[in-house]
Amino acid sequence: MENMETIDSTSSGQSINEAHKEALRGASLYMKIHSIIMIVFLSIATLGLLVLVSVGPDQIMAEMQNQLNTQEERMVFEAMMPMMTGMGLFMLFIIGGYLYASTRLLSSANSLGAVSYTGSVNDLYNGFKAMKKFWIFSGIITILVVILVIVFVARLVPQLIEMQQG
Amino acid sequence: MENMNQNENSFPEEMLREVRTMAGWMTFMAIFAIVMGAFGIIGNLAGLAQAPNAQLVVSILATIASIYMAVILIKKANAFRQFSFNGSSESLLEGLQAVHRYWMYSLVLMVANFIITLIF
Repeated sequence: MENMETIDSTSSGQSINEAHKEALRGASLYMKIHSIIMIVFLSIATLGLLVLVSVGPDQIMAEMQNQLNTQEERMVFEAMMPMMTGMGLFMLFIIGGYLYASTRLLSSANSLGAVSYTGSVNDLYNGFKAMKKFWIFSGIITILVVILVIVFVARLVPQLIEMQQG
Repeated sequence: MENMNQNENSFPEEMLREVRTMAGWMTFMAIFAIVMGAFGIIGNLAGLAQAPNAQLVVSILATIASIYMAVILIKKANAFRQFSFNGSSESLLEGLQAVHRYWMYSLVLMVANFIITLIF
């Protein structure tokens, strides 16, 4: 990668010119702000979730049950109870995945920002590589969340129907 | 990177391959966002028909904005896919401008959602 050349910014429209650099500068700035906000929020969410997990699921469940007012709410909560056990860890996994994706976005923003000053193909390659990782991770996590929701609904609905009939 | 093949437009083949894969995932995420947005709008419209309120209207507007974002994402993916096949500088520029637009709107939407959450 060391020998990858820097493309001349004044060449004939076949490389990185001033228009590219301007677009890269803007994109890099917004990507950086976005990824930093995401990293901060996801880190807070991770800490919060870790605190909840360390407090203990039983205590959380009991506290949540106390907040419920109607019979229907209690029925839904009881049906959800068996599935709640591994939920905290799964959420932690999902948030961790998004956190990693956000760091890739930040890395991509840094590389693309560097291209706007250096015009280096090496930096552009690194920027695209990190951006690809961001989109792949986001996609995989989205697929996992969809699977989780489908499993959750598929298990919850029959239990609710059974409870209503009973 | 000694063996990195470079096409006639000076962009290495490895980079174009990365961009091609990235464009595929971008398209997937955009289509997913459009489908989810459509479901969201249908759900909100149903809610609006039953009991109209400002929160649902704002929610519909936010969903429309996220669908628009997904459309930009598709444009971006198409530009990058084209760039990955022809290595053209124009396609790269189009893709980078779409990246700029996408993240700028994304940030605006994020702030708007935050404010909406605070209000409601």
